[in-house]
Amino acid sequence: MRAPILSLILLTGVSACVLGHRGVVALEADYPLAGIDAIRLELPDTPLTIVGSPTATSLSLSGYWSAVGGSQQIAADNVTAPALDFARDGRFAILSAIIPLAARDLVDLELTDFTMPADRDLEIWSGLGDIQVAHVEGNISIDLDAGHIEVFGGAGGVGVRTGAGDLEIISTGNVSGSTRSGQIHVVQEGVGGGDIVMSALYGDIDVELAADANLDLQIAAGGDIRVQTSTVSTVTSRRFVREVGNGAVKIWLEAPYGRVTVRLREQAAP
Amino acid sequence: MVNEEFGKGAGMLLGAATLGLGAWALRASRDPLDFSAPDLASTTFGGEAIQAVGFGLLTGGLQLLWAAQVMDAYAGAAGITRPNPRYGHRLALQVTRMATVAYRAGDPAADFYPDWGISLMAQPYRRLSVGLGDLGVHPGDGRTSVQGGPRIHYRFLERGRVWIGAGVGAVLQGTVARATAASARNRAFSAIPYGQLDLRLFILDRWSLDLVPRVSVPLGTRFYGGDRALPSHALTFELGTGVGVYF
Repeated sequence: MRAPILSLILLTGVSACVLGHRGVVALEADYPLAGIDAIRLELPDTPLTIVGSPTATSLSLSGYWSAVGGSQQIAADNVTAPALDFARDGRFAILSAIIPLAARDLVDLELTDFTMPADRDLEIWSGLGDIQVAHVEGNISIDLDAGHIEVFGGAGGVGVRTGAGDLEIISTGNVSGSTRSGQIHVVQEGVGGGDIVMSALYGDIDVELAADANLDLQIAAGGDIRVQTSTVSTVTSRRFVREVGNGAVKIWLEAPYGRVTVRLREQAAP
Repeated sequence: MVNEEFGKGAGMLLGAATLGLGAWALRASRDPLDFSAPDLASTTFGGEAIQAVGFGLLTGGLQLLWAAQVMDAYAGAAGITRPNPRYGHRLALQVTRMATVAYRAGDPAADFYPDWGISLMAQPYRRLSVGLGDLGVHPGDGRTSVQGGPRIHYRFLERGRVWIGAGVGAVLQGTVARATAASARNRAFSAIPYGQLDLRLFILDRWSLDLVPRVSVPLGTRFYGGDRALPSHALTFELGTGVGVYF
């Protein structure tokens, strides 16, 4: 009698699993942004690709909700339980998701298209998911637990943080950012003159400047520090401090366990 | 080794170290950036499920081996070669980790779902126990779940140091969530009826190692720690590992 019972126990042990179903439902929304200067996104963890359009007057998005359920009907119920909420507060708006507690941790949001007017400020709070923002020229602020961040734009300034992931920023504005673990690449567009303040605890920093007049260079790195512009050229390590011109442009870089490179951006051929 | 059983001691030590390092390596190899890219659409389910199964087996094995070596060391020091399980105990206290591998919405698409709990079972008649099982608290992301529920258990086989029994019960779970914009309701309740087998191996008279396969169906969302939850009506097969002490 014992052998069949032990066999049953072992069989159940190796097949410890859960049976159920998945559900998916498409999502599409459009929120007019007349009178709104700044938008904050407080969405469930999702990768985001946000494109700014000079002709857009509203925030448009599409994607899908997915959910799990013990039966097809429950999966269908769960996938329709959450809803997006667009709340206005003066010239500020917050886009968030309202998820009933009974469906929490059972649903997931994936946005595939996201466009907004190019001149608005944008703030994103998220946990996990790569974020790309392109052609949004207001202020861009991103706070992320894990995921790569790419920003192309942000003339009004860029401030980004990720716990784990690379930062790739191409901007004409002031740029500040940090990653605990990842590489940082910053390219200064336009005529230059914006501050760049970056830190990567475990990773390298590579900065391409548009101009090298009036720099306040303060660099600390665990590995090599290489600075090569028309006014400063050095290869050193640990710490490098130098002021060029009136020193009005901060280039403050910190990579305790990485290398730092600062160079002039290669100009496109005429 | 303290009892001058060097071979057994070294084997247990090496086994525990291997299981612990294996579990740590599996967990450390899990990079959150693997799940951050767009359009994964749960395509990584297979690899994640295998990793979760491996983690569960390694940590479950480590838990049992660690408890076994402590009991065995005591048995060796006390000169106990054949334990005499306490058939007539009045009260049993068990600490058990019920565990399964389940699907998730989004990415990662599969994960390991552990549920640590304490059971207090009285034995009013020989072989028959009643009491409270699965007592525990699960702190989650902005929510906390408290659970416990009745269980009745019958021991149908007693042979030497091995007991085998079966039980039925229900876990009653209440969850309170911090009021945020992301939660429309901030309270939830679920009942999780279950049936289970129960294998107990005694190394000492009052202490057992427990292996508990269980089948359950949550009626309502079942919350675990962290950001894990199982949906209502999801047929769940779990394997419990733990220790019991008898008074």
